[in-house]
Order: sequence, then C-alpha cells, then structure tokens
Amino acid sequence: MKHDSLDNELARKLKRDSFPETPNPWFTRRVLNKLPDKQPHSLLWLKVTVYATAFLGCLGMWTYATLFADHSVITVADVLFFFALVAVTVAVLWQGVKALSE
Amino acid sequence: MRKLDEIALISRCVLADDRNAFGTLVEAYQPALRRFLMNLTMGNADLTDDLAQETFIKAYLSIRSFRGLSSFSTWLFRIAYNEFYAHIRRTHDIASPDINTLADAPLDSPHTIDASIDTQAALAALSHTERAIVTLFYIHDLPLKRIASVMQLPQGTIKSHLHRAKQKMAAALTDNPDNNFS
Repeated sequence: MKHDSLDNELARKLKRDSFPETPNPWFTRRVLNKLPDKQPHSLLWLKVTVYATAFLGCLGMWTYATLFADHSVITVADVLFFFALVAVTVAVLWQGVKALSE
Repeated sequence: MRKLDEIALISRCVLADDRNAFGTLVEAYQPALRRFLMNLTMGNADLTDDLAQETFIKAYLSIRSFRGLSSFSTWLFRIAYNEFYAHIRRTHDIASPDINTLADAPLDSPHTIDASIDTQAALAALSHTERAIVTLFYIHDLPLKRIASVMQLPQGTIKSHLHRAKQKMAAALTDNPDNNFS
C-alpha cells in the first residue's frame, strides 16, 4: 500500500517519533479485576444432559440385569458384569452430583 | 499471535468463561492498542489506559458476538476507536500534545527530542479522524481495507482523509528547517 517515498518517509518518522506505548505491567491485572463476576457455567445444560443420559443408561442396565437376564446359571461373566455395573453407576452418580453442585 | 492460538483462546473465553485465556489475549494485544490510543489522545497516558481498559472490558462482554469475519485485532481497534470517539463527544476534549510523555524517550536514542515534538505537533494538526487513519496506516501498517473496517467508513473516504492528512503532515514537517524531511 505504501508506494511512494513520502509514504515511506512518513512511516519511518511516525514509527520513530510518534507517541510511544508506555509499558504498564499492571494493565492486564487491572482489566481482569474490572471484569464482571463469573456467570454460571455456560456448559451446565450440556453436563446435565450427559449425566442424565448416563444415569438412564445405568437404570436400563439394572432393569435388564434384575428382570430380564437369565439367573438360572451365574457365570464369571455375569459376576464381572455386575461389579462393572455397580462401579459405573457409583461413578456416574458421584461425578454427576459433584459437577452439578459446582 | 498465531490465528489458531487466537481462535483457541477466544473459544475458551466463550465456552468456559476462561479468564486466564482472556488475560493472555489482553497481554498480546494491549501494547499495540495502547500505542494506537496514545497517539489518538496525543500522549495522555491516563486517558489512554482508561480507554484501553474500557475497550478490553467491552470486548470481553461482547466476545460472543465476535464472528471472526475480521481479525480479532481489527475488532479490538474498532472498539477502541469507538471508545475514543465517544469520549470526544462527551467531553469535547481537543487533545493537544503532552510534551511530558517525551520524558519516556531513551536518552541514547538516535532521534532528537525536537524531532519527536515536531512529529507529534504535526499529528496534532490533524483532525481526530485523520490522526486515527494516519496512526493505523503508518504506525500499525494496516491496509486501507482494514482501516475502513476499523473506522466503519468507505475505503474511498479513508483514501481521501489519508491524502489530506499526508499533505498536512508534509507541510507541517517541511516548515521546520531542523527537520530532515524532504
């Protein structure tokens, strides 16, 4: 854009001789202190949806495990499934309560 | 700052209200923004800091409306110019050069205090609009299209103002025989 000697001369002079920026090490801190208080987390609705879906999923698995699964023979896989279901349910409930109470 | 880093920081501000991310943006852009305002206010450091703070606070409050059509720095400069213009309309403050600001110039710099005074006096001879355009064009190396976006004026109008400002500055600087300006 600067295509003549006047432009180049003015650019050189202004960059060198115009008002300089005076360093202010506290500037950023002062700006951040003046910001309004934090609003409620904007992703709260997403968290509620995810945890509700996970909880309903656990409920569905418990329903299957108690009402529809074949209990005539209990295998190692059934035991592992049961403990995994307990662990997942506890984790979902614990994380969900923790996240929503923040 | 790289464009990707900028987008990542802005996303963190919008999605998670991440104050650290916003602080990083302020640190990155405040030197250029404050220099722009310093030249608009003719060296008034207190007013520069007030306007710069208001600019960043307004940017934070409206960061969700930043669509990325212009660069983040162009958007910031636009807010800063609007803040300056609003201040002028409120106070009818006709800025004159603040000679005390020259005390910050390093003593071992190659240029003289007189040259700085002459340049800053030449800036003072311009209107607020001309001064803003000259600052953005010559000091911050913004192309005319971006200056038009900052000042919300047609590019043709920016060119006219720039042409007039160049003539005024050249006349002001060549009037002084101590200047090596030709």
